Amino acid sequence: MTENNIDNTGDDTPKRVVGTPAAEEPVVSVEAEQARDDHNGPYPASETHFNSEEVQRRGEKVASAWFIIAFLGGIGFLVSYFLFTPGQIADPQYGQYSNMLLGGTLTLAMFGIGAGMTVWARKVMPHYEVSSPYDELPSNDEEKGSFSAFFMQGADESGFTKRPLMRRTLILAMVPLGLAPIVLLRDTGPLPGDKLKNTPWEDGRRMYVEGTHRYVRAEDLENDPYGMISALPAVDDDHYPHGISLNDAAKSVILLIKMPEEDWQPSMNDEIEVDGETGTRLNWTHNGIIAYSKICTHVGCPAALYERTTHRILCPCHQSTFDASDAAKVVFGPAHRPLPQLPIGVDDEGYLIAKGDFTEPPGPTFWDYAKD
Amino acid sequence: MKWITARRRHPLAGYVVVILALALFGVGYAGLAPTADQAQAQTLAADAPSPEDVDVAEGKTVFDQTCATCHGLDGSGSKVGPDLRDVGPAAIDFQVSTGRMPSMNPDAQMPRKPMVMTEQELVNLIAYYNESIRSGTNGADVPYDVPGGAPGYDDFKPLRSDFAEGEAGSEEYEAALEEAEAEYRTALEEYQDEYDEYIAGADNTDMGMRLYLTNCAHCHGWSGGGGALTDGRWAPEIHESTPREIYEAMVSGPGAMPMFSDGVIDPEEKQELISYVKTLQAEPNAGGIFDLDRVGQVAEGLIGWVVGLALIVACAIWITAKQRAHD
Repeated sequence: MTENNIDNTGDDTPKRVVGTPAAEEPVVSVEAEQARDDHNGPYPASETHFNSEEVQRRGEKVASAWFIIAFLGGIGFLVSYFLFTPGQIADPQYGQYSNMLLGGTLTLAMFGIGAGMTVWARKVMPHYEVSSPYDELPSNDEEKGSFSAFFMQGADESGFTKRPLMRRTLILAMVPLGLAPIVLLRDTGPLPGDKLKNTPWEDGRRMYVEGTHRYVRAEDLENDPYGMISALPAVDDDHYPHGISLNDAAKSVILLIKMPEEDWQPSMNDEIEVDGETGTRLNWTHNGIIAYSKICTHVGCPAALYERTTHRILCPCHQSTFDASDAAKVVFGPAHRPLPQLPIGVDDEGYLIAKGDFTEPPGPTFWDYAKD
Repeated sequence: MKWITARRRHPLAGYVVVILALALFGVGYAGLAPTADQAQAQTLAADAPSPEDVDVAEGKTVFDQTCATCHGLDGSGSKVGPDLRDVGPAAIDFQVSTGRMPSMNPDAQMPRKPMVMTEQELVNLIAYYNESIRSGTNGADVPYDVPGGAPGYDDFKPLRSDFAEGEAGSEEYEAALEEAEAEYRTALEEYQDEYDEYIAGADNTDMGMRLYLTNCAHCHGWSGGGGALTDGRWAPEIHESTPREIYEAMVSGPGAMPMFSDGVIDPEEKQELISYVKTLQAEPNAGGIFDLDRVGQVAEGLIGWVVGLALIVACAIWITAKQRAHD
């Protein structure tokens, strides 16, 4: 077929090949041969580019191969459509195979056509530059003048220039609408005040194991020398399905970590001053249990990949790493302040309680906090 | 060489080199990186072994031969192996039944592997541990009421060598084989019932989900596919884990994993959690061959977007690339 297509002079009655022009129609490539010497693109005639017959023939083969792949892909699409009964597709496992087959074969069909046409354009078609200049773009003075005369005539006839009362009231009507977007900016407020600095934690507040409504007791962690558990303040607000609003839960969630006494770093005994009272970080722990905010101080992801062997708390989002045995100081990553610690103790019945709010605002650092 | 020399100034040569280099790194890394062994440990769903079932002396032999090299003859540990006296039998059962112990390389984190010992050896080992190594009642006990792995047929199959040679022996062997198969099928059914009962016994999967997502998902992934930790350690995927192994991992805290004792998450809550994990894993994976370990929709979307866009850009470059006049 390839031979026929390219050179059919040997036969007295050339056969019409499907998909090619009829014999009496001019063949494009002959025209192009003539154009080689006298075309008027930006490049000289010598730059126009015809592929040799050999390259064209190879291009034809490659393009045909792509088209055959596309054809097989198209047939495959039809086959894969009817391969599964509707009942089978309802099963996710089969639905998945069906999706993969339908998508894969359709991709093959469309990509094959595109790839074949690209090969066709690059290897078989001749290449030369064609330019078709535009006219001058600006209108001439006469046209401009007639348009403005027409516009003013329309304005006069509509009464807009002659009826000042109507014109002014119309402008008046538009003023409030212009102001409306500015008024809507108010919805971005009110200013948060000290809400970012306070959480539901307060002196004497017990804590729930997150996900349950069971108070945590200090002795619950007795059997975990290296324990960890995620906890929430024991708030029972009937307005929310879990007793606490998502906003409050997101701010106040803590990680209770238990570790042996000898693992504490010396800095845990440093005297620090918070709200006028001095104490040490160890004063805020109970029986080897320490509570840190679970919210990373970088951008607020829950940082809870806790390794009990190294006492590192890792945040999965940007790999900020905190040392739980050293006041949650940042040892790696983009966070630039430690996780806030929650002072804890026990009440008369042995339940763990908060002894106040976090020592610093939890969550990512915000604009008027820790500007350094 | 000639072939390369002729083509190295080709406009696509640069792209080809980059793609080859990336492929080399990718394949090389995949070859070198540790891969989690997917084989499932075939542990018997056994009830707590009664005293007459165990052979403490046999357990001592197992310990002295396989464990004492690193953990010391009295289990007090050495430079290469930790002290075992406080870890509890749950930790022993977990480490051995998941094939992590005995370890071939104490410096590397152990992947999951088929169990090396037989079930009976493990029971004997635990009995010996309880009697001679464990200090007091430190550490957690093996939760025998939580279903372990499905029974394996190999544990029931009779050995041909136990029977006489010749035709008479063959017939006896055939009969024993049939009996073993029936026993195995009964045991499997029993196990399946026990397993289903345990999973169905959880009636508050929402709580199980919240417990899993707040305490486990950070490391083990929201779909249980595992993830990276610091210093090259990783949290293993938990798809293969049996309910008992999950329970034991929680109470014993293997490796860098913190402990979740029955005080912190009580047994019923653990059942909800385990039921949630097993229910999650029963979900068919709709990712086909590109499942990406089910890392999650956002990450999957990003990867799909980046890869898809890169392919489209590559096609656009190809279609519009200027053909040079003389090449």
